[in-house]
Amino acid sequence: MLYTKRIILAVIFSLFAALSLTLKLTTMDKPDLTDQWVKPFEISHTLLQKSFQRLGHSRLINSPHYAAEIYTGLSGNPECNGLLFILSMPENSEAEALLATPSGFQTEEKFYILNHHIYDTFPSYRFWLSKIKHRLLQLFGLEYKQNIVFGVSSTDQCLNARTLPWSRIVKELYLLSPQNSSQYEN
Amino acid sequence: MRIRGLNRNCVASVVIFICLANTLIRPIANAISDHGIWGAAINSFGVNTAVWFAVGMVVINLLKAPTESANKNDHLIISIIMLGTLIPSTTISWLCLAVFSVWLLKTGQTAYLRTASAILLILSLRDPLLANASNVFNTEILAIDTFLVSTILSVIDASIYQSSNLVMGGDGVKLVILKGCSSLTNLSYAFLIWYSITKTYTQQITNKAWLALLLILSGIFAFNVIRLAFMATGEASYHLLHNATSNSLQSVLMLLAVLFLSFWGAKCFIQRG
Repeated sequence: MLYTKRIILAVIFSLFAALSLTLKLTTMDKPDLTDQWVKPFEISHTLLQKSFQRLGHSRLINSPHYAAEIYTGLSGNPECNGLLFILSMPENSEAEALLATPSGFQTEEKFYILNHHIYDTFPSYRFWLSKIKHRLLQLFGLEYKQNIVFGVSSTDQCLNARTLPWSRIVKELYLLSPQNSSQYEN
Repeated sequence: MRIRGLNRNCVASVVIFICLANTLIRPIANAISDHGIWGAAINSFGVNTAVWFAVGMVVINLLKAPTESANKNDHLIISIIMLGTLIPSTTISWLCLAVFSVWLLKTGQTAYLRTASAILLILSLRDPLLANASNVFNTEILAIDTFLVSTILSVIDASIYQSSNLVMGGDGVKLVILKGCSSLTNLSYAFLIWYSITKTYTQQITNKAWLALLLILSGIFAFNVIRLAFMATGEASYHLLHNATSNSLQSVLMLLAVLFLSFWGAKCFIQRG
């Protein structure tokens, strides 16, 4: 009787082991957010309408993960020649200090955008909760969309960076992202 | 000793093995995929050596534990744990292992089984706690390393100062300290090794073991900070200290130091006299 019980238990354990390991291996290909956001994205239509021009794409440090999009602002206003930096921060706040002095420029304004809200400091706790929520929902197949934080800084107050319609701009940036853009929403 | 029913240690070992396999399968698969089987083996299959060491200590304790008999409550817990491992999340698998460790710790009748459970609990909580803490408190954690690096460098160059996780100098940014450079990960692995050795070889954690822990943590912290400070002095020293060979050498040196101090703290060296 005990021998039979052991055999049955061994079979059950083997099945559980095989099934659980197979599930782990077959669900490994989660998109790496960091890799997706290092590629330059085109200027958003809204920024274009606000007379911004895209200057380029610059790595802030010698790491592929942190590269900011650089825009000049208000091309119709010769007295305002500030620069606008937009940095995607898909993991955490470690690039926060880089936004204060991007590529050697001193910035006058710095803020962060997550879920339609603007924050003065990196919203670490809210971002973490957002990731937990999305991961849990993803596990049960209910949702597969994740927001990331965008860091914004400007070298001149005349750009009025905070007053730009960031909800629309970020949505456009998501749509313009190189891979799987439909997976993301703001 | 003849027991009635299933051997609890045997069943627990199988459950622990399945949970551990679920937590480690992804990094192992990635390592094999990236480097091939032999390359992955040289790199301990993408899993830190401290984790393998802790697993080894758990196995040693389980092998020494006298047999116990499994009961209905054990069957219930094991069923729940096994269902939990079906969720395709490494974090959930670690948490399942943690829950099972707590169960064994509370209900284990022998010291060896409780020791194995205690080591497993630390092992299983390390990864999820560290990952989440470093996301929520990332700025504060990096600021500690940056503050110490800036303090050391400011002795040589008075223009050095700290700005969040940047080491700044008169000519701009000297060094950016990212999550991977932080001392916290190394400290957590060192604690895991120390705890595994100390719990396995001592009945109770002695003052000498606590002293060993203090020496280990302060040594690793100091080593990391000084290394970062050297990296901030210039491009040449940065590349010298920030390559694969240097990282491997550092890992080996730290591992040997931690092992030596941990065994010293557990009084495991034979006294010749």
